[in-house]
Amino acid sequence: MEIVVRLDVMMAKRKIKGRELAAQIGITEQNLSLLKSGKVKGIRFETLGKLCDALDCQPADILEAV
Amino acid sequence: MTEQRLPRIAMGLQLLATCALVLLPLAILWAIAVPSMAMFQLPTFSEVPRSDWSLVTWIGLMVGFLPAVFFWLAVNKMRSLFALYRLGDPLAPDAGPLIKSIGGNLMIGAILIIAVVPVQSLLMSLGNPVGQRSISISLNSSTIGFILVAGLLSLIGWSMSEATKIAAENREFV
Repeated sequence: MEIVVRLDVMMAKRKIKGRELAAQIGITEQNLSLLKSGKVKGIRFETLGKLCDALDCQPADILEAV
Repeated sequence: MTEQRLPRIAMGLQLLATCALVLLPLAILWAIAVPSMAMFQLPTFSEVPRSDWSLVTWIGLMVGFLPAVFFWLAVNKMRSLFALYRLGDPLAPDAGPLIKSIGGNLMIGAILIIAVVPVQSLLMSLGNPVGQRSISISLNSSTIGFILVAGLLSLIGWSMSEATKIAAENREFV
């Protein structure tokens, strides 16, 4: 089973830009871009929590098992 | 604070290691040229008049410098380690293997210090008539301490290698 990051979908739904979101959750735009493309080994619970807060969603809205 | 001090201290130590790398071979050459110099513990050799030195005596002298080769290698690795620390990243991927290598070289050097004494005594007395040849073994507290420090460094290097692997993996987490 593979985990796919649906962050770009949620960002589009919330109409939020990468730069704005990165600043809001305290990570670099580069890391956010890596996260969106799924080119990271993992995501910390802390980052996931901040993303969910910023996007007003649940972890399952960002991560999906396919 | 530590991050600021690390490169500064590392720079000083790198300079010291570079000096040691140059001075150690020069000191060995000096000791070969003037074996009576008190800076090297070569009383056995200094007692034998230079005119009486045979090929075996020279080989015995050279064998005595074998540990220094490994100490030189260890200092060389130390220099690389300090150069790495100058960049301010103590968890750089190369740090662990370098510390492990320093420990390994020091360990070989320390073991050779113990092994060299019997070989030297045998070589020195090889030309003696039967019954007057001898072999001696010497072990002192400083050599044991040296082996312990070398072993400790190897273990620290090992754990540092693991730590750098974890740090590298951590960097891939967002």
